[in-house]
Amino acid sequence: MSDEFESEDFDELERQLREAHALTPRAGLQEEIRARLRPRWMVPWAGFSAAAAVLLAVVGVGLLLHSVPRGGGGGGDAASGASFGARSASGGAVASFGLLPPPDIHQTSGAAAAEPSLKTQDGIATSAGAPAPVAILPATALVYRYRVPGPSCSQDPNLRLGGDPVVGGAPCWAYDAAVPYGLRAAPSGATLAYVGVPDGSVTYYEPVYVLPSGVIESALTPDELRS
Amino acid sequence: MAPLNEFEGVYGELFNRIYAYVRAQLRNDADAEDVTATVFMNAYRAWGRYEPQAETPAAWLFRIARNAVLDFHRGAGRRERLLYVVGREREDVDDPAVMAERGLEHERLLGVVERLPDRQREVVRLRMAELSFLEIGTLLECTDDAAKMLYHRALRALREMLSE
Repeated sequence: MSDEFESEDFDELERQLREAHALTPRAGLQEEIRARLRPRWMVPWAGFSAAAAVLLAVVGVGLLLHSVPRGGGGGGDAASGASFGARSASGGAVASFGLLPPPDIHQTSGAAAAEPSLKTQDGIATSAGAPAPVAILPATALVYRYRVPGPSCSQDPNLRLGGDPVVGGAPCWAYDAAVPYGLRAAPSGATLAYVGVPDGSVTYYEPVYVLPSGVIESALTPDELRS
Repeated sequence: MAPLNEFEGVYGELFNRIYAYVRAQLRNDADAEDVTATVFMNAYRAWGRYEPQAETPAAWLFRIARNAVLDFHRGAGRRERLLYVVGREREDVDDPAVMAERGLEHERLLGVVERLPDRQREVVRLRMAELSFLEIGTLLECTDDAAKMLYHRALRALREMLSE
């Protein structure tokens, strides 16, 4: 840069400019625009069959995990992660960051959910074949992403995997593959999904990766797994 | 490609700066709010294509904001808003008399900024939005030194215009 500019004193002018440009949004605008953005967080499903496969897979895993004793597996089973801390006080209507409300979708029928479409191999749930048709399947599902501790924010890290408990039945759905911090890297071609994992009287959503082959693996890092 | 979950952090970090940048170029709060919303909607849709190695989130988002403001001004019947920035609705009033006077000074200054040549006007606005010269250079497709020189030329021109 030319020295001629260095020698000029623009401090006062810059101060005035900064003042003139210090235009703050009204209170609440940020949240309003966030709310306007939220309906756009929809998942355009690639196709009925893929969605059906994922739906059935995660339902099956949820049911499978319901029957697996927890706490002594040494971190082996597919989604026996911690039950996460953040919970919605109101039960789902509030779709704020950090909370995962019950999915706003049609749930599959009890018969479909009970279909034993998965089996386990060394702690990994594996698809046992082509999924059966699902009668009710939405074209889109709401996407909820977790608030994560970023470089400029300091949210409670416990929020990042917070799930809103739902009672029984383990409804579950695949969400957009926005990988929260703290999860291991996604395998190639994997879709991040959340499975409903019953724990006592409530069910928590826990992250899994659905591989193109249909294999489902826990998306949690080993140290997130409950020992 | 940037993970989608990082968009929330960018949203929180840059929201106020984007709003101020947009608001300084528009006639009223309502327009600024609409354009700010458009910026973040466009940004969210494009986030999957954002390459962190190529530019900072701020530079990337301000590029979207620049385009959104330009699109707004291209709208029918809105061109006059580009030329006259008056009648702003400032609400941060402590002493009404003092604030009114200060507000008028700010309006005058912003109006003078509006009369700068395009690139000088843009460099001032981006600098006031706290972008580094490197980020500004990325946006204006020049080196950071060139951006700095452009900025100082703009300041010099502003000072001359204000003394008229």
